[in-house]
Amino acid sequence: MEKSSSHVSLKMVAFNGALVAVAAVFIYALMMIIYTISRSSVTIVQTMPPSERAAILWANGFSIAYSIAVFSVLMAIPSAAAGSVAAIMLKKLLPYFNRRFLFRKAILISFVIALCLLTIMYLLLYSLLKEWMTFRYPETFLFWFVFPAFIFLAVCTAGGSKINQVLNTAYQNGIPRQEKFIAKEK
Amino acid sequence: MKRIKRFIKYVLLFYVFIAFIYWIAIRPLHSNWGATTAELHMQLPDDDVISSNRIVSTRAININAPKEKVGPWIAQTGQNRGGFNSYYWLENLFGAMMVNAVTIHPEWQNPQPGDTVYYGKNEGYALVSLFKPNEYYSLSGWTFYLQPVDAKHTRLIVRYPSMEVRQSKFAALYYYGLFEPLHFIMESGMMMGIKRNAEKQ
Repeated sequence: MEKSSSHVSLKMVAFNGALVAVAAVFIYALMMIIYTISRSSVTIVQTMPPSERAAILWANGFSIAYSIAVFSVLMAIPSAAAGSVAAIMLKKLLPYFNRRFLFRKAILISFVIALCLLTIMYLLLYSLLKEWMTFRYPETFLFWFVFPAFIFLAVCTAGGSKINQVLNTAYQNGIPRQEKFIAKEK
Repeated sequence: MKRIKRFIKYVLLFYVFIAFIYWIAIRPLHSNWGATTAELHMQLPDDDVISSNRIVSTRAININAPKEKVGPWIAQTGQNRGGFNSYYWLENLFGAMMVNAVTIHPEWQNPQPGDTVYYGKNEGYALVSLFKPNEYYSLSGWTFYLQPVDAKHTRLIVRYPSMEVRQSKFAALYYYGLFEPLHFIMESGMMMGIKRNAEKQ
C-alpha cells in the first residue's frame, strides 16, 4: 500500500512552522534580555554610588527589555515566514525520502533539509549585506548569524521528527478520512 | 503546539507589561536622568542649533574628579578615536568595531570644528561643532558640558537633541520604538564610563 500524508493539512503545517519560529525568536530575545541586563548591571553597580544605583538600574533594565521586545516582534515576522517555508519543505520531503517513517532517518533528513534552507537563506542575506556578513566582526557574526543558525537547525530537526511522527501515526491509522469519502462516492 | 501557543501568549503579555511600565514610569525618568530642574533649563553651548522638531533630553552625573581629569576622556570620543566609553560589547553586536581607550591619547586631545566623529565602523558620523578643552564638546547639538562643583568634583551635563521626530510619523515610530531607549542605554553607559575613567586616574 502506498503511504499517504495528504490529510495532514499543508496550511496547518505552515501555521505551526510559523508558530515554532516565533517561539524560537522569543526564546533568543529573552536570553538576550537576561544577558544584556546582567552584564550592564554589573557595570552600573561597579560605577554608581549605592544611593544613585536604583534609578539607573531600573531605567537601564526596562529600556533594554523594551527595545529587545520591540526588535524581537519585528524579527518574528520574517522568521515566521522562514518557519512556514521550512515546515512545508519538511512535510513535502520527509515522506519522499523516508517512506517507512524511521525516526533516526527522519532526524538526519530534517537536519540536511534545514542545512540546505539555511545555506539558501544566508546566500540571499549575503547578497544583500555583503561586507556586513563577514568574520571580521566576530561578535556581530555570532549574534546575528551563528546563534540563530544553531537555533534554526535545532528547531527544524526537532520539528522534522515531530512531523515524521504525525505522518507515521496518520499512516498507521489507515487511509485518511477525505480519501475514504472519495472512495465511497465512487 | 498548545505549549508553544501558550509560551508565545505569555511572552507577548510580558512584552505588553514591559512596554506599559516603560512608558508610564521609565521614560519620564530616563529622559532627564540625574539632571536638576536648573540643569534642564540651563542654556548650553550649541543649543541654538536645536530645532523645535526635536525632542531634547538632558542628563547629568556627579564625577568625583576635577574637570581637568574628565575633559580629556570626552575630547577623544569617537569610534575613530578613543571609543565612546560605553558598553563596547553591545556596540560591537551591531558591527561598530568599537574599542574604548584605557588611557588618554594626546593625539586626540584637540578636536577641531568640522572633524568627523564616527559612531561605528562604516556607520553614521557626526561633525564636531564646538570644543573648548575641559569646558564643553558638541557634536551638532549633542553637547557634553562640564560644570565644576568644587576643586575635586564635577557635574557632567549631557544634552541630546533627537532626530526630527515631530516632522515625520515614520521617524517618530522608529525613534520611540527603538532609538530612544537604545540611545539612553548607550548614553548613560557613556556617562558612567567617563565617570569611571576620570575617577580612576
